[in-house]
Amino acid sequence: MNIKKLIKRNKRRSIITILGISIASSLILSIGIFFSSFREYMIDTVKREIGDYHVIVKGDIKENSTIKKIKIKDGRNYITFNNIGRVYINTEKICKSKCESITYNDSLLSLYGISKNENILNTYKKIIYFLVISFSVIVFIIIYNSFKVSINTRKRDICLYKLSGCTNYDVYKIIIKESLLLGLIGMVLGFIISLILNTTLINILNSILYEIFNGRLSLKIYLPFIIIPFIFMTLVIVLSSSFPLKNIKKYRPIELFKAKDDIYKSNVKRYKNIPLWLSIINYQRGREKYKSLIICIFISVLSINIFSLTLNYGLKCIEEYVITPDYDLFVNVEGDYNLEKLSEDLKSEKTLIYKSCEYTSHIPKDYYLKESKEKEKLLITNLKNNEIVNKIDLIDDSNKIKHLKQNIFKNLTEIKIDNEDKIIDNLKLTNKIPFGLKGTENIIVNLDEEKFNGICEYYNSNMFIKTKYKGIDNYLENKIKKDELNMTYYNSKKSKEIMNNIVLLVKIALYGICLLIILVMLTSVINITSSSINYRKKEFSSLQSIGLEKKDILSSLFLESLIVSLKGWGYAVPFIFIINKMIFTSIKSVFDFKNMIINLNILIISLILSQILVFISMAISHHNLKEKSLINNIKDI
Amino acid sequence: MIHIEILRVNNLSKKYTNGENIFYALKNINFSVKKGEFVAITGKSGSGKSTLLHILSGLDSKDEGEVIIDNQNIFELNDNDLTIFRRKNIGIIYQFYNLLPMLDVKENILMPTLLDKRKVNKKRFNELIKTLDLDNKLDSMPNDLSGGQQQRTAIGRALINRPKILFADEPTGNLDSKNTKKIMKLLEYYNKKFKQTIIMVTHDNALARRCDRNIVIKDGKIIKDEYKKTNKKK
Repeated sequence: MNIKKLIKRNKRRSIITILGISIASSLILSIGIFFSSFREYMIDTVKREIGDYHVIVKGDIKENSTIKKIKIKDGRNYITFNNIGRVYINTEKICKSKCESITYNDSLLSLYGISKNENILNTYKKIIYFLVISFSVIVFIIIYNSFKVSINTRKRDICLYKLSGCTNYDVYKIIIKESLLLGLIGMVLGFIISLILNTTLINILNSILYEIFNGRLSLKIYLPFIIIPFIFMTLVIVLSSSFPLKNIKKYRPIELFKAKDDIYKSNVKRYKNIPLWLSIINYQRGREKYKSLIICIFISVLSINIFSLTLNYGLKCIEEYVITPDYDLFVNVEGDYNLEKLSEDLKSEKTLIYKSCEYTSHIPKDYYLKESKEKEKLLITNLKNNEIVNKIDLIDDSNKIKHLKQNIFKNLTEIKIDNEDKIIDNLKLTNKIPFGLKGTENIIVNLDEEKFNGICEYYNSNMFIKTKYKGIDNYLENKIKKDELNMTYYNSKKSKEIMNNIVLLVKIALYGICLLIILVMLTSVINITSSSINYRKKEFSSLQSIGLEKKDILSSLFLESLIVSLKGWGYAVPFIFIINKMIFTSIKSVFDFKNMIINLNILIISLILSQILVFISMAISHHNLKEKSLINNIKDI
Repeated sequence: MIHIEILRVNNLSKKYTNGENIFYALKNINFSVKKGEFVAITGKSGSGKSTLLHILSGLDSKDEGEVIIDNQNIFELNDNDLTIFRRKNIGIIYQFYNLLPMLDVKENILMPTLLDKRKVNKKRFNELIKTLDLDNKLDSMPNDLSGGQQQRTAIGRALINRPKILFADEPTGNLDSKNTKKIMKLLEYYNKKFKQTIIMVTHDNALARRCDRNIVIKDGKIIKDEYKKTNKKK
């Protein structure tokens, strides 16, 4: 049996199967390629920031051919060997117990998996294994269903082979060869697609996270990281194509001459609406075949919703953990400084200029509404008339992030400053946090100028501004150099931008993965539905010949697809809630979340999307039956 | 007695091309059929008789010519309108029955009526079932029936809407002699009693001789067209 002819004869199905395998392969191989590139970037970074040496040795050493490079600095030998894998053995050889001290470049060695301490490479491998196995399971189920349906619809062919004298083993060989050939083509294509995807991703990362990567992230392939996904993908293809073969033993040549095996008296009551009636009957009789489709929909709906929930929880955690400043720039100078002028130069839209000093204080427990720390850090400013801000952010002893605490004090009117024998009295509580000071852990005490000068002997001048001025960093760097200022500043705009870009990237990555899973599912859906429609082409044509109009056929297909989509979606919903609950419970212990996130819109979108995809796939497959005339379809030519 | 023309075929041709080669399955077919005629179309295997029947019933396309049924050129209709026209005016019986496997006998027979959204005429249905001898098989599925029973079900389905014209493509081709006789008797019965116009393709000359008229096709052309009683050549 010529496999190429076999594939050519079922061109459409073969192309769709190859597409599905290539997209699945690209998803799995991309994990390895991305981590290869990232590892290479980390190695490059370590070499730049720490050095490309493998070991620092102090003392007399015996040079030999294993050493690639030695740099002597401050009486120490910075040695790079030819083979990093033999760093320990080679170090012993050159030292011969005469070295005073040996310090290994663990940061570099861990990236090669050689460090005697914790190895980053092992961590990367664990992450790759986890991701690859997870995706492999998803992909296996989808491709297995595709091959299963493909084999079921070729029952007639298989019976013909057996009628011609083929044994079960001969049939296995034919089908496995075909699957492996399609799988090989798919994997090669998948590898090319993953290279393109990774190149695109790396370019995006270099562009939007330039401050982090400095354009140094580049496409690199580290073979062990590629081999793991490659092996998994091969296993997926072999297993997903061989498991369905167990049915072949049951096919006997006599079944060529029998009526179809899915015909039994249905219990469906006849409805006036013919398309509805036909759709229910066809769903009932096709239940076994539709199982595969339902499983595909189940996995896709589950994946989309879980990824979306993960993203939303992640974003919420970032929101809770990272307090987004309401200012663009914070400037801090020791002592007095004319910050008004600076604010004008930077074209500030909103400014807060104040002086501040810090103290610690003990506030007795009685003044707290709830729990308290022993000592509190105070930020004393000259902003207002003797107020204590009654809201602060706290990180408690167990390092759990808490919400902004409101109304933490009661009746607090004076504070004693430890070790200074100073008392700040006649204070009143306020809930207004000054501009820029949201997110401070200190208790903010705003005093009038006189009281402030009495308490703070040494102070800083501070400024928060909102501005659209570009080039803040350059301006301030030049000013600090020129005027020799003892000034520090924090450009939160840049940090905000980086954070936004990271969030954007995470969204792109997660939705990108969702999209790839949907595409794999789509190829499987197309294969399953086109096989199903083709299997029934005789019936469709017979119905049309006795007067079933096209709109009724489409209505029937729509209802059939609705039943299938609802089932797949319906099975996924409880799992989504269970996994959501699990994520919420685990995150709740770290972050102070009150409510579970319920992505109702994604839930509904995933139902509509799966319904549309299944229906369109069925409608297109039915439309393709028009390539032949009605009579040819009736005769099943 | 006025005989109304129910079918007219004008210059009908169908060709197949294979690269530069053109093969004519039908070439310049012209004939007409009057209401109530029982016409046999005969010819050797590959002569084009089944192709002719499929085109006349609208199941296949033509390359040239016209097919006019009850004053309607069927190839002027779009796909949907042709489907509706077929439902109301044409009944088709196939050699291999082509029953809907997921419906029982009753549902198979009633399907054209249900599709036409007509109310089922119970009296007519019961008469039909009785004539077809399917009274006690109404709940059976097609694959539980014998060949003869399946073909009788197919005849029921084709006749339930009282079509203007019934096309039968080798209706006895897959049956034994006993069932062949039964089916032919049924067709003759409907032709005689209800003036049902029947056009039947057959390779069996004995069956053709039982019809009113025999059109012989060879190599895609009509070579003979004669009536049974008078043996008059048309």
